[in-house]
Amino acid sequence: MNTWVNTLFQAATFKTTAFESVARRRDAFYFGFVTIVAIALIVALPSFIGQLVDSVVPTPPDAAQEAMRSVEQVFSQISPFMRDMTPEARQAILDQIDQFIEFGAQVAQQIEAVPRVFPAPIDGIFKSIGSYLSKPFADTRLPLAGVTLGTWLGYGIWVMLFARLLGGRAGLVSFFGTTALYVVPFLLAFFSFVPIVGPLLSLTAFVWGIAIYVKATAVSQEMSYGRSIAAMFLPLLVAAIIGLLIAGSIGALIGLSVTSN
Amino acid sequence: MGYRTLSLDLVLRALFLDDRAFDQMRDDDNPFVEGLFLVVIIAALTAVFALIGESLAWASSPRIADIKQVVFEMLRQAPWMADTFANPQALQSFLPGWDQAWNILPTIFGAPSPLTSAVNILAWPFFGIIAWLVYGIVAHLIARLFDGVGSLSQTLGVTALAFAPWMFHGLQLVPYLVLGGFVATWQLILRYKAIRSVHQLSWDRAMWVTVLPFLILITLAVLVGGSIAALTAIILGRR
Repeated sequence: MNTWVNTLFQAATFKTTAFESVARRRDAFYFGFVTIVAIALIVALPSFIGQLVDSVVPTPPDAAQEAMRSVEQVFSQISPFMRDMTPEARQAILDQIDQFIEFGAQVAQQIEAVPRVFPAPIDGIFKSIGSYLSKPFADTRLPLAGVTLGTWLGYGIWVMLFARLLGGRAGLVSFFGTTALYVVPFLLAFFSFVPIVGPLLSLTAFVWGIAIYVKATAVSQEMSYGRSIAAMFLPLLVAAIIGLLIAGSIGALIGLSVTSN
Repeated sequence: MGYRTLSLDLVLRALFLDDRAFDQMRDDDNPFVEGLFLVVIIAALTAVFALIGESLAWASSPRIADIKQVVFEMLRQAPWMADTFANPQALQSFLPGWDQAWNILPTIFGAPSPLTSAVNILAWPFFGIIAWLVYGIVAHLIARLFDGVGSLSQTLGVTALAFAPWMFHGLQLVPYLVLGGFVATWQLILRYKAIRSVHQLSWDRAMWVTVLPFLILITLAVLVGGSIAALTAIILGRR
């Protein structure tokens, strides 16, 4: 345990020996897996506790008013785009939304009272635990933007492929073992619930994680930082080009069918 | 009676990419049988775990019929539905769509269904075997084209180890636990390791042998689907 924590700390401070020691491990892939699962669960702990408390404590009656306040806030933010709308029309839309939210809140309250095999709070507790334990297994929209097995493996196989094409020499075990270290800075995301500071810490973790990934790729593949960065960004570039080509083809097809009609 | 290679330890070592686990399976006296047993046991056991989780979720949530009744009663009182409920004809045209929606939507939104999960105890092993055989046979043919040296039995036996990440579906013992796409990626990595071990190919050849079966099967599916769509359009056009 001490060695594990020490390795993680040294990796966070970019000590080459930490990356080399992981790359040499026979069980480097297992090490990476355990690291990701453990850190994902640590980071998600505050939101899990919050969810768990919410599931046990009954929903406050002013939840509908709170939702309505959020809608009004959104409305005031998008009001510059609704210049043509009269204040009466805007108020009518707000009243309609208010009515729907009120209706939704009442339905939710009635459903909450429906009898079931287990008492009502159990469902909320199950959902909180299920959601919490799902964290390491989730997908992320942006590569390396979260502590998940999905981004580690899904993005990793492409980086591995391009690294090998660029002359890299790592095996799958050492590559995945070392690149898993990118999750260490995400421990900062433990404080993501803190207003203003939280999102900044998460952003810092993301950038710091990318830097560690560059180092991990370079060390495990025995290649320069330049090649390591290229191996990391080429998959994104290829994906962007393919995306543009597909979007362009669909656009051209739509254009053709419109003009032929 | 053949020698039994398969064990939980072997599967766990394969899961975490231990080369020796793949080699051990390759060198078994009957890798095909070991692979078949592995696919069936993993698929069936994980389906049983998932059934337990689904049953717990079902027992803790209200019945769909009760929710439907609550929403219907609330709609009856809603001011914007007053005209519909006051007019028998409008109500008659509203009800079929309403019932249809409640038949489809709970499944789409993932309402717990122990019955579907119970069916999976048979469905997962069945489809697991089909997927394993189709992939294994196609990959074997391609590997031989790429100068691979393994037998079909070895290819099938060792690629069965790529079902090891499927064990994560057993975590669905915990109600509402959701698994992302990592299982499929992990399986792909294990297939690559399996092909390399069995056919003694260089990394780039093994990579092609791993992904080509998917590309071929997707192309075939698109071609067959397109042909069926075209045929349907022609037949409908003649009427």
